[in-house]
Amino acid sequence: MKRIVIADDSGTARMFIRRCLDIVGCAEAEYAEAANGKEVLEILKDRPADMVVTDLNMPEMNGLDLLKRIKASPRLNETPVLVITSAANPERVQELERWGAMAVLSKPISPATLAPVLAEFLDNEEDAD
Amino acid sequence: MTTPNENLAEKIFEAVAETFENMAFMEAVPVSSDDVEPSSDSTLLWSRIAVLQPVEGELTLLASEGLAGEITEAIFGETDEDASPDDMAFDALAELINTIAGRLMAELIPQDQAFELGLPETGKGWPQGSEEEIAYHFDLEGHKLMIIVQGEFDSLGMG
Repeated sequence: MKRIVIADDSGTARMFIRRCLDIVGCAEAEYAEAANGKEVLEILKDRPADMVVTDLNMPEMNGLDLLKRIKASPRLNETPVLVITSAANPERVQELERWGAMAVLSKPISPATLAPVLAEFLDNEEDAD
Repeated sequence: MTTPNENLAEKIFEAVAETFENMAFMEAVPVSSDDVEPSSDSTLLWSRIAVLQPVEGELTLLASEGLAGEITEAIFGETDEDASPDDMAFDALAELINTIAGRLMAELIPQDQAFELGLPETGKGWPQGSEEEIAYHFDLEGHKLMIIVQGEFDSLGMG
C-alpha cells in the first residue's frame, strides 16, 4: 500500500486533492495530512512516504523549502514530490523542477490533470503488486 | 476593441466560473450590479487574498452565510462533525479566492512573468477596503456572489 502525504494549509484543498487522488487510482493508499512543510518533515521523521503532494504557499515552511529539505536528505531524496499551487508560472515550474519536483500543477486540479503526471507512480504501484 | 476594464472583467468571469465549476460543481454566471437585489441574509462571509507581484492589489470574495454553507456542502459533500460550520466555510472560501487569484494572474500576465500571492484571510461582515475598488457580481445557483477587486490589475493583460 502506498503512503501519500498531502500538505496544504487549507483543509478544503487537502480534501479536494485527496478526492482527486482517489479517483485516479490511489483510493487504497494510506494518507497523512499536514498544514505546512514542518508538519510534513515531522510525519516523514517516523516513516518515509511513497509520495509527497504539497502546496507552495504555506505558513511556517513553504513548499519550496520543503522540497529542498526532502531532496537534501539522503533518507528522503528519492521521494517523489508533486507540487500543486495557485501561483504556478513557467519560471517557477522550472525552478521547482530544478530542485527535483516530480511535476507542478496549477490549481484548480482535476482527476484529468492529475492522472497523466501520476501514470508512472501508479505503474510502479501495479508492478509492486 | 476590448478596453482594459473589459479585459479584466472577462478574465475574472473566466477564473471564477472555472474555479466554482471545478471545485464545487456550481455554475457561476456574471450578472450586472443592476440585477443584484439586497439579500435577506445579511450576514456576509468573506475571504481575501493579496497580490504582491507584479502589481499590488487585493481580491475579496463575498458570500452570504447561507450561500457559504451551500458552497461548503458542495465542496465537501458532507459536513465534518468535528469541524465547526463556520471554520469549514471560511476554509472553503479562502481556498476558492486563492485558486481564483492564481487563475486570474496566470491569465493576466505574460507566461514568462512571475506573480506572487499572499496568504488568504477571512472574516464576517462587510470587509474594510479601499475606495478604489470594483465589484463584480455573479449568480451562483440562484444566490448572489461578489468579487471585489482593488489594485492596478487593469494595467495588465492587454498583450
